[in-house]
Amino acid sequence: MNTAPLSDEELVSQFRNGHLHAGSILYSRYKNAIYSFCLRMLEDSDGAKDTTQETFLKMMTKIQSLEQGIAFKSWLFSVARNEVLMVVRRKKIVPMEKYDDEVNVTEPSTPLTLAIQSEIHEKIEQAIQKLKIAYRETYMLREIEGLSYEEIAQATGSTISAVKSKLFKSRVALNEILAPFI
Amino acid sequence: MDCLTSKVQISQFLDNELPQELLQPLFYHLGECEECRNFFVRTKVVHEGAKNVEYAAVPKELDEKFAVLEMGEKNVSLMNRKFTISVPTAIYSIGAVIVMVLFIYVSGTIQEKQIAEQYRQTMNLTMPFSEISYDRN
Ligand SMILES: [Zn+2]
Repeated sequence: MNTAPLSDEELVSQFRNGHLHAGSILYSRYKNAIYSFCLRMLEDSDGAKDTTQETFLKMMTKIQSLEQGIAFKSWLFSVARNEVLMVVRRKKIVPMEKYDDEVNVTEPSTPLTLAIQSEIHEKIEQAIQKLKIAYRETYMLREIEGLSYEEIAQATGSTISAVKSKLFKSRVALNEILAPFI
Repeated sequence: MDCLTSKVQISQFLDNELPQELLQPLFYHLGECEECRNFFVRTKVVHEGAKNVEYAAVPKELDEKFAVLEMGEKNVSLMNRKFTISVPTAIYSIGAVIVMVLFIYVSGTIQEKQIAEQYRQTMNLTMPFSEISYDRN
């Protein structure tokens, strides 16, 4: 008997054919990843909760718009990303057009980033939060979510060379931030 | 190789995206350049560490909202359930329908004869309808 978990593609196919249980599995599979992505992008738990909810509502209602050849995971993150950007624009948290060309990291903005942490992964997490949002999303999609360059390009509506460039710049910035600890 | 190119390639190397033929020049440069070596070590530590960054748990409230997917499945299952019938049951059912139709037909015919007989007696006809002949002469 085959007990391997169903792939995203199989679940998407079942969900499209009206099997809501497949949607439930997809929700369970990605709920924490999407919520964490939104939380790290917005640094606001209420905003993250709302954008996560909107992301999965869109998954339920717009799953038919997922094109052939696009990975479900990158599609779902692109939906989440759009929801996050809408909140960012609405709240005018930061001017989005500035992000693409800036390499510098932002100033520490939360009490958490000021706290002294001993664990290296906590320092890494703090350092990621200091990246500009356009770099942060690319870096998270690569390092935390493990998306390929192509999948990140699909999720962010970007090009592979832009993804490579953002990853490189993110790593340079993280190097600078974490140099005193490593 | 200059240090900028080296660092760009280190980034791609960590992503397993650096072409094989570029590996040797990169490692040759790393052997000679302390700055790039430090960059490589730090970036690799961060690269490994980022994989262990934990997810925040989604609020329970959202789980409750999306439990509708599970609840909905029960309704959909009920709607999509296929009703089947075995061959013997189907034969018995068809037989029962035929018997019922025959019964209605036969009882209807008997009733018609009874009504006709009553009518004949009422009209004082001595001869049954079937035996009356109309002679034009
Ligand atoms: Zn160098």
